[in-house]
Amino acid sequence: MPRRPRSAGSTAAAPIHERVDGARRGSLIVVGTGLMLARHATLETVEAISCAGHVFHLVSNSATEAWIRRLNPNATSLGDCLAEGKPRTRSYSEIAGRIVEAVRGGVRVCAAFYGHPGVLVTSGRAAIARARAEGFDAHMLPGISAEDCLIADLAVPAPLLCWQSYEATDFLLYRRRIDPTVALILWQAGMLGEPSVRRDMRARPERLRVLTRVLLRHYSPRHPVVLYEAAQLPTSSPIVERVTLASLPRQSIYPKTTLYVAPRPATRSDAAVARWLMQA
Amino acid sequence: MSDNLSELLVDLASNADLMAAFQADPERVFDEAGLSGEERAVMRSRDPRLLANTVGAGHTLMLGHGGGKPAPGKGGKKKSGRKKSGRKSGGKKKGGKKR
Repeated sequence: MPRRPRSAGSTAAAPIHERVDGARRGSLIVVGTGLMLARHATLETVEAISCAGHVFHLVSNSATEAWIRRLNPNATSLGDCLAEGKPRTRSYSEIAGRIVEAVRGGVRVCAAFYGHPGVLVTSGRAAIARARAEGFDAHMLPGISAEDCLIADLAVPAPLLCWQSYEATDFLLYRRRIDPTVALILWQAGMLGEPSVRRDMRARPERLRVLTRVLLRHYSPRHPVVLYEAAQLPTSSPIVERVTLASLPRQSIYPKTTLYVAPRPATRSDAAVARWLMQA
Repeated sequence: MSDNLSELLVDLASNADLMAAFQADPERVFDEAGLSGEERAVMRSRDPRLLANTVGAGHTLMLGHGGGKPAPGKGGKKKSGRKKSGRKSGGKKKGGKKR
């Protein structure tokens, strides 16, 4: 039975680890709030937020920020680390630095990111590495990612026994190899090749053309592609737009859009391996 | 945009009775939450992007999910295109040097 989290609005003293010598000992727990406001957070995530001495958060909307403040009023947004034109890598390093600084100060810190905190969130992992290098206890809890929501919402015709998943920029930059007979998921297509962030960001058509050209080596122009965004708020539905691969450069693709490329018909299984498995 | 909309959304996400009341009579729930005319219009629209943008003030409009380009020197050689065959984020063949 999980421990009951601190009630909303509680102003109880911040819990802090005590060392034998009486000195305060900081720690770090990195959590994910999932995509859907409040509802995707696991019990252990709610407890981690509620019981932290201080919560840092970088989440996708002000309603989720309000929910975190209800769980723990000692909460600070990390949003000011992001700025238009500022390199994202610098922002993420600053975020990690701020989190670890609080840990050094002896605070039991919780850092909350939206989605899964270990999926495409560089600053959470960096903060854990830095804290551990300095001898602090630091770990991560799993969260619900956009991919989890996509698999549930798209009701893919067959159960996904295997799939491939890439960050879109990484996919192009490193010329990742794919198997077109397996479902393909491309994250953050709306931020394709963008070193920084800007308001109302959408994928640049010329970059989508490059992505499309690469995919056309494996799929036909009429191959179905889904543009997907998970629902984030309790009154919203997921966004699911079905387009053809060839039309991709003409689409408005937002930072939170995930692309799902359906698999081509499967190849035949290996008869020799199948026979061997049956014998075993 | 006031905090009322964010607070109402948190309540709707965590209170099944309120969600049922909202589905039965949204206007009454808007009244009780003290939503402005603009906030009501956004809620009535049921447009997920409009709603997300409305409560996604400030930095949240600029959020992706993290990640981004790899750190300089990490994994992929000559990423920034200095010296040697310039590098871009995809497309174009490189002429077969190295690798």
